[in-house]
Amino acid sequence: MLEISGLQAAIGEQPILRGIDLKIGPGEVHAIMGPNGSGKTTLAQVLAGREDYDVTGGSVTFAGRDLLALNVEQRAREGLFLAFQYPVALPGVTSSYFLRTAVNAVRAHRGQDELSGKAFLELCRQRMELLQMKPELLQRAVNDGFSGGEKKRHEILQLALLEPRLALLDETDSGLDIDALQTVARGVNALRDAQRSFLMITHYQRLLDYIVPDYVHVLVGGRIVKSGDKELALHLEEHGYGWIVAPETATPAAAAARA
Amino acid sequence: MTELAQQLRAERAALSSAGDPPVPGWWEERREQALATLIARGWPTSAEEDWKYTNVAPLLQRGLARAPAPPLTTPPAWATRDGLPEAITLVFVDGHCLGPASGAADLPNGVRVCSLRQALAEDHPALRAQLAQQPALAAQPLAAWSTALARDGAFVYLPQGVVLARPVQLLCLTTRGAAERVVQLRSLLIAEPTSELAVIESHAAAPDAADVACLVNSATELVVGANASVAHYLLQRAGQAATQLATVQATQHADSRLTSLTCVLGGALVRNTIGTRLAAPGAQSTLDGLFFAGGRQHVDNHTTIDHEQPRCASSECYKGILDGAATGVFNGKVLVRPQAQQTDARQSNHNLLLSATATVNSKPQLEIFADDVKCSHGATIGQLDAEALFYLRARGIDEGAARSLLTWAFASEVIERVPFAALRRQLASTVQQRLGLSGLTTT
Repeated sequence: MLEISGLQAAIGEQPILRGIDLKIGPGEVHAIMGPNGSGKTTLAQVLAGREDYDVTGGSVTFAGRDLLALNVEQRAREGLFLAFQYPVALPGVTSSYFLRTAVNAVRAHRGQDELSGKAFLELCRQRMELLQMKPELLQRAVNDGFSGGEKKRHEILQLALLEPRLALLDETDSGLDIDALQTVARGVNALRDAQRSFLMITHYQRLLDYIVPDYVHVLVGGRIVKSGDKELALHLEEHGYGWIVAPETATPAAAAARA
Repeated sequence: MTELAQQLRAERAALSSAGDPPVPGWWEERREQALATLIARGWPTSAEEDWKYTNVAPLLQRGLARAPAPPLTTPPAWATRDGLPEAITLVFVDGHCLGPASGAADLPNGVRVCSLRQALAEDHPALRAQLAQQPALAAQPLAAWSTALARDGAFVYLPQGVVLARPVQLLCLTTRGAAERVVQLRSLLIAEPTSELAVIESHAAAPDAADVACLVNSATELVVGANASVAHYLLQRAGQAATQLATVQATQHADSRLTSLTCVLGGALVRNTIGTRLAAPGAQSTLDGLFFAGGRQHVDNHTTIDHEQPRCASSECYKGILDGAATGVFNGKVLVRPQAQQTDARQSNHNLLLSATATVNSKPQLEIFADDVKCSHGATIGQLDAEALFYLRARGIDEGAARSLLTWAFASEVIERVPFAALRRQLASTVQQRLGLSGLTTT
């Protein structure tokens, strides 16, 4: 599904990713953990196509295509989805319009007909039920005045509507209380199947109690320094990141995090 | 006599032989005074700070107000097509009011919604007391021009305590007959103490006259009585070759509330001069605006908020969208006089430049002479937010559509402050059409 080899990325002169290797198979759920400043969010943004980062080395293959050759919207249409840590507010743009525009853009790419207003609303209602969301939310401006929980659920709703092959969840647990976290996790788990893959980025182990990963990776100083199964996450929760030997080229931020 | 004096005198003389009904002597005197003030001051030139970016010198060469009053007495269907059906409506075509107000059958006692000409014929006492009596308006050259030469306009009067549930709508339209001519409008809106009034002043071209190079110069005076509330919506959708000049000046009494919202969506050259004088303690003003210009359009917004007395509050938010080779101006003056303690004044101006050739000149101008005040201002000139653009594209929406949606989002914050749903929808659809968006309803 996704194969990352030796991926390096920088902002200006500052290298952030220093050679990432990661393979995600169909239906697999991976988690990436790591201290602040280790490059977790950068990895998600680079994969989604954010142009502020310069890819300085390596390659990424997604569903048999060279991902790095595609622009942001092409990646989304090919089935890569990023759930944002900080979703952006769009005053004056109703959620229903936004969602329908996105769904139809992806459907057009797949050679499917546009959904009618009625069919779209029906689909929305089904998916919203799963996430315990009120249909009234569709008439509100996107993320405008949404609570933290509403924003994250709205992200997962988009995931449920766009039906991607690979979903990147960037700190989806941040800012959620335990009830909201469980709702979001239930939504994600319902979307797991033998084909759809997930890459979860998180600072804390807590999320992984609810969305149990097949693999856990530890990112430090822009490199994956350790991989394992869900036991690794529990170990990290107990012992922190300090016991992991960082690569020699670790950034000062990562060194500080170890100290 | 200077050239300006000669020309203005000739226009005045032509007016007196235009066959308009006679007006009271006091009005002739005030018009004469306005003319003299304008002549003494001189026509604005770009050497003046307030006229630095907008050259109105060539406008004086236009053939003025000689067009005879049109024979129409009832407005044609196209005139009210874009109006608000529930409103009390006055229709102006090329500067002349057509017939009495519609929807005015059951107005409360003492309420007047009529043409200025009608009010002058009646010699309404409030007209004599208030028309052209605000020094801040008299000092504006374009307002003086209108006072001296306008043949008609609107008069709205609410007696004390009257809450008018329906808005008053002034539909000001230009036809092919206004080509190369100046259309002058002079209006007075009075809300006596504790009354409530909403007025929509809408300027547009007739359906077959969108390409006509007309010039509309309007001056609107507002008097907001103690604890009264007035909302004034200035909606400009002039044709692409039109010049649209507007002066709006309010005087606010104690604890009064003024809402001014300006929406500029058309015209080749637009200059709006909007001011309010917080003349007694406890008054509140909100001045909001949206201007969206493309091609070679030029839109100049000058606002003045004069905090004359203590414990008044003002809040101002103007947003500009400039595309193509358009130019925009925002000049927001906030004056806090020495006695205006405990003033709370907030101002913001945000501008979006959609092309490399569009320009905007943003000038907040705060002059504060009191010490116990809260004043803030912020001005930004920028492009669309990169984070938001990424968010939309990451949902599969192509970059062009994403840019349009974000531009709409920027504009909608002002449009959504219009409290009339039908009007909000119209403004929204005008902006959305220009952005190539369809099927988007307002929130």
